[in-house]
Amino acid sequence: MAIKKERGSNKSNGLCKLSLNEEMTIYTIDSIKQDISKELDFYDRFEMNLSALEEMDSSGIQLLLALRNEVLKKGKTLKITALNAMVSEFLESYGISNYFSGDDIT
Amino acid sequence: MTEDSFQIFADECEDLLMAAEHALIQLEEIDSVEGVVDAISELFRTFHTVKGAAGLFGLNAIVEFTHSVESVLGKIRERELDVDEKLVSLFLLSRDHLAELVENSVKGNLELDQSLQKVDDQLIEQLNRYLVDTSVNDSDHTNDSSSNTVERVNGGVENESWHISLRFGVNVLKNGMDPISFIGYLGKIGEIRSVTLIDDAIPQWCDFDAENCYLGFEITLYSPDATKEVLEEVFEFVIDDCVVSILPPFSHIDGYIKMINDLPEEDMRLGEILVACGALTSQEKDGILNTQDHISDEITARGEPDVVPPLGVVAVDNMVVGQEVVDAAVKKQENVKQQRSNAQQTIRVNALKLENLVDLVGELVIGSANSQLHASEIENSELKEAMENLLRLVEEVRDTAISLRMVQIGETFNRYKRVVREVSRELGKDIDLIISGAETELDKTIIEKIGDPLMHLIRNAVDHGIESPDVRLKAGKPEKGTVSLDAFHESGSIVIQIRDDGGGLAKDKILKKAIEKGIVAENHQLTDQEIYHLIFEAGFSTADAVSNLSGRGVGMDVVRQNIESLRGHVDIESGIGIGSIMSIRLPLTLAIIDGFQIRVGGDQYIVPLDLVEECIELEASLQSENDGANYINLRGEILPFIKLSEVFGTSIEQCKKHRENIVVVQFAGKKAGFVVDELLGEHQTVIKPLGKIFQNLKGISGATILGSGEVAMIIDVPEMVNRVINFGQNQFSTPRSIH
Repeated sequence: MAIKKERGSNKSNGLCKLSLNEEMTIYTIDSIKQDISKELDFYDRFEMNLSALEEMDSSGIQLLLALRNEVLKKGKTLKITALNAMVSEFLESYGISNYFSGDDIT
Repeated sequence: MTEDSFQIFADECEDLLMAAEHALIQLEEIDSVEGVVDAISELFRTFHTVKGAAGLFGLNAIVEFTHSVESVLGKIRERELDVDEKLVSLFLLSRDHLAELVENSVKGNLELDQSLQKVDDQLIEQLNRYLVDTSVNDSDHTNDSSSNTVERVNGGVENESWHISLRFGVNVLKNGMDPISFIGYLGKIGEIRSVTLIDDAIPQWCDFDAENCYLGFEITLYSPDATKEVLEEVFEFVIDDCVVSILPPFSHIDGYIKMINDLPEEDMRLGEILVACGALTSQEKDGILNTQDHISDEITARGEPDVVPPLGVVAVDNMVVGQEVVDAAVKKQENVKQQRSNAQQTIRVNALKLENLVDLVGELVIGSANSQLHASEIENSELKEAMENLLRLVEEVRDTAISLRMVQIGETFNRYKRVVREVSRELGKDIDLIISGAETELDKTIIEKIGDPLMHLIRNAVDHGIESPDVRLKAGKPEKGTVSLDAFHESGSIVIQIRDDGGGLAKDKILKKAIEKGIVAENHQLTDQEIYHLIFEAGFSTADAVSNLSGRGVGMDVVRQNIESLRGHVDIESGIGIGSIMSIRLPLTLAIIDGFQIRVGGDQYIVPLDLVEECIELEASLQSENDGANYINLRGEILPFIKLSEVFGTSIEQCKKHRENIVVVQFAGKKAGFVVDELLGEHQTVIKPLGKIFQNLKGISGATILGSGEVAMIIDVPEMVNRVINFGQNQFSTPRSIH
């Protein structure tokens, strides 16, 4: 399983902690999207832990961006709480490191 | 950048610029308005192609300069500006400058040196003046004004980096490619100064298909060494379903306008993104966006009240894009068509390869002559037959190889139109240059080398030959002078004639000057021809006024040397008040000729077969009684002759045993006979140049290798004919032989 809802997620306070592991690539992206979709309506603060991610490609970034657009639109937040060097390099290459700090609450 | 493609670029530019010059010169001769517009469109295309090619190589100096030229041409095409003499001159100067820019970049200089830059600035300023002048009353050419308002202020943007705009296709990820790898690869080509991810295309979460790719990027890449080609190759695999625009450093602002128009995102946002990633300064961005606003204002002003501003922008966008797309499509079609027809007609080959081929064919000819010699010793009819067949083929191969090097002289001739135009303007004369025989073919090396001497002779004709208009009128001649340039074949040579209807050569003046300068002795009797030829002596000039074109006495002797180094020959005919004709006779080729093999004493010689008229037996009855006289009566004509054995100093006793023959040769209308010991027949002659030691050897123009491996000298017929004639006139002893 590439995506896991962590303990600490709480529907009453609206916090959803998701951790991604193994790979977030074109091969798994569709199932990840479906898993996230299941949670989307029930929480309004999303926190992503990407530190255990072993592989990532642009589809993963794209998913994060799509998710970000979606939560921002609905007045929710998305924050990456933990990441490893691979992910941070990826975000840097695309010049979007500051996109997921969770500061841009509208 | 690869050297090969760069060479092609340089060659192409040369061709295009040559065509441009030709078109410019003709421009003044066209009298119909449509004709002018057509010619201008043609010129526009020519310059545009140069610009496009230069852009491909990131040669911004050329792109910018060409753009200025193009803008003015565009004005003319839209009939907002009339062509006049001054403008044509300016275009000609621009063309020259462009040629220099191309040359400069071929040398590997991306930057202009100071003097070039100065010319560049001056010309651009002059060109821009035409743009400014007409912009006062321009109102409705939206496409033009849009580009002009921005261009005039700023030719190129300040950005020193490449700007790459990417919009990936939906299937890129599914096809196993990842946008990050392209960016990573770009990082190897240069320094990525900034990457801006464009996520505008990502749909809402519910419509979002995570396996599709919706990403776009605006990338600033600093890489002064990269070429557009290299960058395009990066995207080779995805180019089909992606939108990629690559703008070179200091790109013209038009490129950005077009890119912005082509991209799906809103202009304003794109403008800001471009500023953010450093592609444009905010001033430049405002310039672009304002222009578009300006257009929309114009549209509303023209009475289309339905168009609300934002839509107006879109409408204009569409219009501009539409027009550009149509233009581009038409141009593309034309290019394809042209390329196809060119591909069928010509193929570019490295001149060295061709030279090699001709050399090899030369060796083949020698080799086959050798084989034939041995074959003839063996009494085998089958071998002989095969040999005959082989020889015939070798001969055909030889002719074909030589014809590969043959080029029409027309292009060289056309160059002189401009010279005549400019020189005559400068001198206040009105002169027409009439060209005929432009399709006459000549060896490429000869054409290259004859260019400068011809130029000099033409300048002389214009400068010294043609009189000034008032003198002409007084002499009862039309005010307009005529210089004609003609080329034709004549018995194995090509003749290039420069004819003028000017004052003719003043014999007494030439003679006086020559005596003054100590070139000839005072009491020397000279024929007309000899007097005319004095003008080719070093340090000779009769022009009373020394202009900056000619009259310095430098050059005419060089002209003669150049022509002679090509085994050529100049003849002058002249009549006072009628004009002069300079005829340059050149051999068709410098490589392989059909020769006529003769024997004199123990040595063999070659006479170019084309120059041989006939061979006759030297009978005692033909010879006049007086042994000293060197002419015979040939069917009622006097034929002077010379004994080659005497000239080349072979022993006479040997000759006595044989019945002697006379080879009658003709050159430049003069006939002469060479007395030889034996006629050996036709021989395919590969001309080998003689070493420097033999440079001053008169009467021999080269050597060849016979089938047997022996060396045979090639007789310099023009020189020898002169010698025969002079000999007959007892002037052989003149210390300085004049010819």
